[in-house]
Amino acid sequence: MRPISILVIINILLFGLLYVYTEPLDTSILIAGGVLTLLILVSYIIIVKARMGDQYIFLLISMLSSLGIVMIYRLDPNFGFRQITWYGLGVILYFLSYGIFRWIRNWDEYMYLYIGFGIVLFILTFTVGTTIKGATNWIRIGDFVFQPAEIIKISFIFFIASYFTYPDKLKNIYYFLGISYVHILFLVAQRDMGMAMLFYSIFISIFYVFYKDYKLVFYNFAAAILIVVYGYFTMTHVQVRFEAWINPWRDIAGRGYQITQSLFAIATGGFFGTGLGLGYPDYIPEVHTDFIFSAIAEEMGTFGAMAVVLLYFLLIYRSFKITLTIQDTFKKIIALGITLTYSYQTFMIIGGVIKLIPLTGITMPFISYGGSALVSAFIAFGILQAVSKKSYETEELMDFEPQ
Amino acid sequence: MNPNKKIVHLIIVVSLLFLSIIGYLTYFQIFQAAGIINNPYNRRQWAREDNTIRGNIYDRRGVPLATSEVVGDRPVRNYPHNNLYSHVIGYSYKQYGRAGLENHYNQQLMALFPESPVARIREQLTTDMVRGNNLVLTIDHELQRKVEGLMRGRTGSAVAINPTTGEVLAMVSKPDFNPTTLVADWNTLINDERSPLINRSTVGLYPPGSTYKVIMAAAILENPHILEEEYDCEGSIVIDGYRLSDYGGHAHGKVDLKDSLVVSCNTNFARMTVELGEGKTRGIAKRFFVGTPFKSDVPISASRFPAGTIPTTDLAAIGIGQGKLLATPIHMALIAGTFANDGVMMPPYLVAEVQNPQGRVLNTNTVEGIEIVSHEIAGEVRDMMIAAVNRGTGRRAAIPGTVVGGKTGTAENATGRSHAWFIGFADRDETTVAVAVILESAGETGGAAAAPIAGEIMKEALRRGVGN
Repeated sequence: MRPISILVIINILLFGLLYVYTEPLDTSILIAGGVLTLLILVSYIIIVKARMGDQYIFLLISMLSSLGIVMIYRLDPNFGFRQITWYGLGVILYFLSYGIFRWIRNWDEYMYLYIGFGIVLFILTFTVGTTIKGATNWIRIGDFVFQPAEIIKISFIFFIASYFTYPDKLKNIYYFLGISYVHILFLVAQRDMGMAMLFYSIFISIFYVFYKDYKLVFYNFAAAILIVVYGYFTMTHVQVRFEAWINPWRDIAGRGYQITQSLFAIATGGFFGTGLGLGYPDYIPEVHTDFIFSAIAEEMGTFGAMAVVLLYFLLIYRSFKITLTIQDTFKKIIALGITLTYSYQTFMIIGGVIKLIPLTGITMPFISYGGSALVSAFIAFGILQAVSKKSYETEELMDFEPQ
Repeated sequence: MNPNKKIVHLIIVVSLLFLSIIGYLTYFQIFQAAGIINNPYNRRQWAREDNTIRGNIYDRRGVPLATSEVVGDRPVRNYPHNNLYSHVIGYSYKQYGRAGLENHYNQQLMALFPESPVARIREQLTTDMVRGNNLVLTIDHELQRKVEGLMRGRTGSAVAINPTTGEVLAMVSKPDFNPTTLVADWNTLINDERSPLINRSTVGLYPPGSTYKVIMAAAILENPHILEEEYDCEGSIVIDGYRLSDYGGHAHGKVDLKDSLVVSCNTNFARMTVELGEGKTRGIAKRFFVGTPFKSDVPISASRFPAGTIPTTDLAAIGIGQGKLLATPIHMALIAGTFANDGVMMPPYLVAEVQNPQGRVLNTNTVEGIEIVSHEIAGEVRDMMIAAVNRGTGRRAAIPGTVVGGKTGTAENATGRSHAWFIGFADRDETTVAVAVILESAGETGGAAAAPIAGEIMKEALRRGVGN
């Protein structure tokens, strides 16, 4: 069976289940599911017919998004409908970013623009930003809030990529390090530790791959560990997170509340899950954003949750494959940066809600409810799709070359 | 280096990260989930409580001990025998959590893990209430009533087991409480200095006193060189500058090991234990699980044996069951039972069977015996214990026409009033029962206060023929 057929069947089953489970019967669920599936189908056909490169990336992110929409819908139908709208916008931006990225040829020349874009957005966040859940990392425009860091993630990768393409543009490597750390420090100042960790992980990984001097890479790594230790002793909100990770059971009603509620959900679900709509995931605070994985684990079981992890792994595997085949340094770093962002982000949030690592407030790519995160993820993978076209063309050329 | 090679390093790192998620989830479900589900803070449990009829609990002959019924649209738990099973069955209330079997067997009583995923789906599709699984206990209701009657008004514990199978036949801890009126009584209960909520039988730690001499007797029999010299008891002995006396300073004269156990001669046991040395004293304790936990279907506190190097005076104290030794009543019953069962200890259990609501047996408890001492050594100690009841300190536990063995204990403790102990066994027509009785701060000897109660318990157990 072709992967697209599997996706359509799963969507029919999921939305059918959701329809049967909701009382009273609500045909709008079926319509929403139908529209979503049709949108996926049409987009997929365009990608195949227009030879837009890799055929699996879009299928995988649509599969993840569908799962997310069904889960969010089950938790709160209003959020579910809004998430479908966001998905639609995401798909449009996916094709747009694909087109724009291919249309403009000299992306690697605008390093200062990327730096400026990031810094200005950060400063804007500080001056006109809104504080939600203890982190000043949102900007409000009308009725609608968005998280600038979700967009800066992309400009940050562009900055790193353009630097390593033309390293001579900056006087020496320390300027590069300085600008990278400014990005990270802004996030620390906004008390968005998850994002800071994510930016740092992307930075150090690309630095490791493209910088020749191992010593400097090592010093940066060691310094980061010292900073984390220092941060633990100076910042109480870091301590709270850390203690809630080490022993959440000591303060179930307080600091450990979120994580223990998440563990109750996962434990109750067992390997097979309670079944969609038959659990109590709404006992978990923030369940539709940060903790959606726990809701999936409760209702679809640990096996279902593992399947989600494997879907992410497939997506990341495809992305790494694209990264490896590209020859152009700039595009290679862009692809690598995007791949790493979503690898680390997925690990950080899943690891956090299952208590494998300390919890950092970060969203689950494509599944969590949230406009800016979903839109920026679609833009990022739209770019990856554009990069993949080039890489697949070279691959084909190489295949036909006589030995 | 080629960037692709370093990218492969990153691929390996990311793969390991994802693998760790899958590995941790598996570990979590297999080893941690069951414990977490039972946490009283898990609101799902209580959500389920409202549409689950808790399983019934029956004694070994089918007498209902705890039942559930639906009043209006809510299940209600009944404890028809009120105080009688306060510590065995415990209670289950939203406000105050769970205790006893209601706690340890909550998963089965609530049918938290249905027989199969299909069964779970079936139960969720129907709107009827879920029925939990029933428990059939090893407890004999009539014997339990008898034991409760004998212990009424006292503080302490009495446990009767079948030493050949490990079945707990009766278990009473005093003072107790009424699970039916627990919510109304809660404030009184938690402020009561005598701690009625505690199950003394399984978690009460007491100095075993002279009852511990049965273990020492086994150790000495395994090292016969200690018996070579004849001992003349003068009523007290000086060890390392400390004077250790017999009960009431009474001199027993020339005694061998058997006589020493029969009259409970402290000075000779202290002397022999010092001669035996720390290593062997610790060794025999460890074999009898003194200081290490043993298996059971309900949690039992581990008895205590001092850690580290033991000074000679402390070693002498251990020989007579004092010093830093502590043991639970159920453990002492097991020790007595070991000598009645050819040196094999059967780990105790309270639940014989778990049955589904239709009466089909889902799970049968059986235990495997652990050989503690040899058949011969067990036989010799058994004879000594029989002699202690026939002509020694345990006379008041005797039952006419029945082989009864035992050991009394009068344990000194911090309260100033000694605990009265009796551990022993009775054998008749292929039926064996072992008991431990402790009366806290009784201020009387074990022979005077605990032995008659133990005798009555064993008599009733044999009359009901429950020990086979």
